[in-house]
Amino acid sequence: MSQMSLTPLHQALRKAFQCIENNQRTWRTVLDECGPLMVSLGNLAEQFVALSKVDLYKTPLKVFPDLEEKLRFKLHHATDTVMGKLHEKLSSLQSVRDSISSQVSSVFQIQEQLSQTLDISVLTERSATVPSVADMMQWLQDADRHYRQQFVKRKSLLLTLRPDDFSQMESAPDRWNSLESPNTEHRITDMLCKVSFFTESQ
Amino acid sequence: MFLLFCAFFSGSNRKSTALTGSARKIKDNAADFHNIILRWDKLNNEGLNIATKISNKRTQSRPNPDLLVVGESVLFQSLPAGGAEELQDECCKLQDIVKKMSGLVLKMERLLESHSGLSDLDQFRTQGLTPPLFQTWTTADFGESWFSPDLLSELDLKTLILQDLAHCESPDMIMVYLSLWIHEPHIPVQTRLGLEGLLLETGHRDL
Repeated sequence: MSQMSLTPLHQALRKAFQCIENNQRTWRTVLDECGPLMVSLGNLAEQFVALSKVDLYKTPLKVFPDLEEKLRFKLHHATDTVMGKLHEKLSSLQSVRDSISSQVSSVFQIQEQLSQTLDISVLTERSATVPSVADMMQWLQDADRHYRQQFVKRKSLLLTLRPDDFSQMESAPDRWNSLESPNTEHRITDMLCKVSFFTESQ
Repeated sequence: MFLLFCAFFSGSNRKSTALTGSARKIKDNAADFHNIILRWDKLNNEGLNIATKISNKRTQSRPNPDLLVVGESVLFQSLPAGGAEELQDECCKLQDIVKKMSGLVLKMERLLESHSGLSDLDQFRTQGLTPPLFQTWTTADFGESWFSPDLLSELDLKTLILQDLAHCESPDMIMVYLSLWIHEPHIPVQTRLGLEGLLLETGHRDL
């Protein structure tokens, strides 16, 4: 009876792991694309800082009226473009997070529905090829939490950037890189390896 | 009346490749204009690489702050062996780039002259009642797309950067020069859109 009622839960688990596997690649690609954009943001901030330190009227450039305003406008325009692209990337990250979250929460819903029929011994039973349901659900929750946290941290970093706060913008690339958490990423890959026999067996 | 008919005839020919009169000339000018801008952008990128090398050499050769008291000669002493020649080489390359850019500005001015001639001619022929040449623009509308004065002031700015970059000592100023080189502040953002509009209108780009 218990084995029978485990089938929908197993199917939902397989689907969730496949979803994580596919989205993990997308997530990585999007983050790789963000790197150069963050670097250009840092460069633009450096240019802003340099411009504000220099008095163009005391340099040979004084022959050009409004040069500072024109350059400042162009710098703002370039910053806008970069920020626009970063926000596009952010929404790709959001869709990765959303699809993983929805798969994981559907696993938990199914488990809740079946909680009456599923005995604790069934949930913790494991074999050489199939980890226990309890373990798999915990791994799913870990992965879900990782993507949620990563997304919120990266989003809040972008939201704190202001076009007039150059020091924030200048340090943004370093702060962005410091959000990387290779250990958790590695644990997710590890987890996908552990469930590979399970996901392949239909 | 005959002239008016001719003007209409060239307007109605807009789908055919055998354009005549003003439309032919404007379409060719638009292609030339586009090529000039492509060439300008390429030169600008090449120039940026050279200017970055020059600025790197300048910042590397900056005197150690501890040695500042020794005087101005420290700057030259601290240049690595052969540094001055390399700097000179790079400056010559940048000079070539600016020279080529000034050639492009000349070409652009010729295009502008040719266009104002066309405009006058059309005005004379049709007494201001010119029909659209391609889709919706009249000869006079095309005049707004050329941006020769912007390129000319941009060229002046680049010439000034060329003259001062290798002599500049402040790293901030060097950064501002590079920034000015990349962002071309005299060329307004909308001119790129104007160029795209011109290419769409003349049929060089498909709708």
